Amino acid sequence: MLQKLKPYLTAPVSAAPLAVFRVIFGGMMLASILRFIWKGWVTELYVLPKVYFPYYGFEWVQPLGEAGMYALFFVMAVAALGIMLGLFYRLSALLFFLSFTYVELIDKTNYLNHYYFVSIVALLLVLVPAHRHFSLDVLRRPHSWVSHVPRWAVLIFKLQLGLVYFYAGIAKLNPDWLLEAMPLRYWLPAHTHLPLIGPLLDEVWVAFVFCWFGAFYDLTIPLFLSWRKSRVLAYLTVVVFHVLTAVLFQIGMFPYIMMVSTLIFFSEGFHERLLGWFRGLAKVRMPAAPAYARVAAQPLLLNLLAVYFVVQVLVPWRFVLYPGPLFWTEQGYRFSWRVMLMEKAGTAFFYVRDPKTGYEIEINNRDYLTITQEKQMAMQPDMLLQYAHMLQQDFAARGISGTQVRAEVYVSMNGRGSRLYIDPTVNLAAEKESFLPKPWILPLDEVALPQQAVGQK
Amino acid sequence: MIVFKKYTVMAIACLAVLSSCGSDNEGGPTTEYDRQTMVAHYADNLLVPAFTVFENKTEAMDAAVNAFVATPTAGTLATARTAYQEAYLALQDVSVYEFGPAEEQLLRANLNIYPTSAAEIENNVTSGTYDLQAAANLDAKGFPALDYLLYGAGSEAAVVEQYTSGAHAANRKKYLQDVSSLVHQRANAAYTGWTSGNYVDTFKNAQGTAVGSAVGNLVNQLNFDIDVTKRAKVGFPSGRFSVGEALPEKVEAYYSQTSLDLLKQAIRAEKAAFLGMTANGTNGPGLDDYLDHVEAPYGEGMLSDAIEAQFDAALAAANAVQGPLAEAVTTQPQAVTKVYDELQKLIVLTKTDMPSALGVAINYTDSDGD
Repeated sequence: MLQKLKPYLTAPVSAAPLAVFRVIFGGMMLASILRFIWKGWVTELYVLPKVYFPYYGFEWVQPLGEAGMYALFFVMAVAALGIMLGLFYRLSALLFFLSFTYVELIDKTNYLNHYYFVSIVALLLVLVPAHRHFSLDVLRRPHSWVSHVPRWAVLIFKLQLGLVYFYAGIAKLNPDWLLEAMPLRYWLPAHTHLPLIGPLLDEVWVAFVFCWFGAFYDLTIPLFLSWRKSRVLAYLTVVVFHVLTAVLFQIGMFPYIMMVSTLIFFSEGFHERLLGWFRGLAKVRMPAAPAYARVAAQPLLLNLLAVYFVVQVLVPWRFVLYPGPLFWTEQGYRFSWRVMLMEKAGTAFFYVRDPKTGYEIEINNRDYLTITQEKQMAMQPDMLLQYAHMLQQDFAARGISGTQVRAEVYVSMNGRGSRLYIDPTVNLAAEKESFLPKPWILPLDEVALPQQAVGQK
Repeated sequence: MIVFKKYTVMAIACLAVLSSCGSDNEGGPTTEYDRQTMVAHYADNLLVPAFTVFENKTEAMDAAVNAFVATPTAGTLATARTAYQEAYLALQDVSVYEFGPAEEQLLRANLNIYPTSAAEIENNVTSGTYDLQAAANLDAKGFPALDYLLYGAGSEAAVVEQYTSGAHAANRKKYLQDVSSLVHQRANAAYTGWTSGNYVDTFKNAQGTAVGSAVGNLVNQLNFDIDVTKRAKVGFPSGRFSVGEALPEKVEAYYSQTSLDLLKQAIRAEKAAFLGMTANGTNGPGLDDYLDHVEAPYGEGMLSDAIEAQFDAALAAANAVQGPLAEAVTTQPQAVTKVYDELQKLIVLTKTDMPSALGVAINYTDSDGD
């Protein structure tokens, strides 16, 4: 299969789209990092918290202290600049990938699909010769200049973007979204003060229009962007769609990143004209003779990329291996491009029991966690479990070993009244984290509300 | 091609929808809920009156304390005690709204850290030199300190004796005056911020439900206050967060034994804040109506009804406790536990279901989502 595709994948295509993508992505990342630092989030998210929620298997990823974290963000910013300018490009891309991913792995409280997107695009950027066209590396070493790169070097980004949209669309094909207009039905009325569109957002039918259009948009936009005839209109829709999401939801830089990233779907001619215009500004001449980038170990790279994309296609489906509704259990939820799908909130009461005295005390979560950590923890089973282990370790450190930890957690989801989320009798301190299903998550059955408080023993 | 046509139609329809709303919407359905009216109702009919009453009550308290200090008798003490109790009750009504000027004044931290430290107060009285703005004195000032200073010695005669012939009587008088005057200063600053400081306008213009919006502030502070009510007023004294046995001295207003009144007042104030109910009992547009507008369900009924019923359940449980609370935590643990459990159920509804339905972020800082 790959053998047959090989001539197609390695055929030379203009290097301009890739160079433009590199400049845009590096620039957006630099802006995002500076914004992140300027907002004080480095300190707030990676210095001030007393505890962190690392990912399973990545418990060794720890924050580096105030100076260390700021140094890491400085490295990240410089690396992003390096990507944008195409200066020491491979090193810059690798450093950016490593520093960005490291920060994301510190605390799953801050997980966002678009951070995951940034990480994997950075990884893909390490693999392509994006610096051999319109870059400072070319100015440093004119011989490295190429006019053409193998087709796969551009295609992988289109494919990745296409996957993000398509899976985001697939995820919207669920009853809550399509038949109840949840959670948009709850989210849109919060914005009725907006000029022009505001008054409409109070209408339920508008929520339905948004939901159905959103699903249709996500599922089809990669296609319409790829097709020359529909491209301009499709891109106009991209802009309208993402501007709307930027106005309505607090999603930071993501809409803008998507708006400029999707430019990669435009024609070679478009990108060449764009670069030509900038060259005109800078009065730089482009070599006349075309040159093709030869990529070392290309067959190996192609095989690895094939494996990578198979994994990308499969990972969002891993939830079918777990029992229970995905939105409720969140087993297999992350890394699957499920965005804006749930209004989920929880309240968690933790009880720690000293088996020697038999006394059980309630924990004030804010003694350990930040507001954001508590909020995320209270509706995600793996974080509930991690927190229970933190509590046990903290008590052990204070000389009370072998404590039992249980939690009374209530979660409401997409308009369903809050109900018990996990078995309040289970000693979470004795439960181990793994990829296996967590049997102590209670099913999302219709229960008679209100429930009685479980309370302290 | 057919797909493409559909797509074009949808895109155009969507754009048409987005652009057609400015002009011809006035004649549309009237089910729209006017949040501006609700926010204005909260500001004009609940918040400003509550801070006005609080300012008046603390001013009256300060005057009564000064009168008592000028001539310490059983009569002036009784007047001062009554004025103190009324001001403490008025604090419960404004605690629900600790944002804006009240947050600047840190009313909870400056006026109501309990248990108060009798040892620190006595040290300050003895030495006669102290800085009541220092963090170290947070538990030696505010209402809990007044509680100790006006009731600590027990009988009226014993208290009057402290301020007449007792050791360091002059220092004690000054300390009482200083604490009382600081309480009034804070209350006055919060009141001024809301009235002549124009925070009313800031509040009314903070639209939407994001961090810092009027609705966001109302919901988050209501939740915070219910949490404090549950944890500090009931949880700490019943020993739930410590060793498993009751700690009566941790109750609010330990010396005057008015903990239960304050607890009930706090729950009533929180309920009023939820309903948008004014001090004279007029039920205006409130968070409950907002919930009804978005048709937030709970079980078979409405979420707003479930929350209101839960407020009543918590109040009923508090009414069933025979005071004072400091004794009840050991003599009627079941009745106190009942209050705690009802507050627990209440906070689940107000902190989980309500913000979800209103699109309010449980957050005090700005951050990105996805």
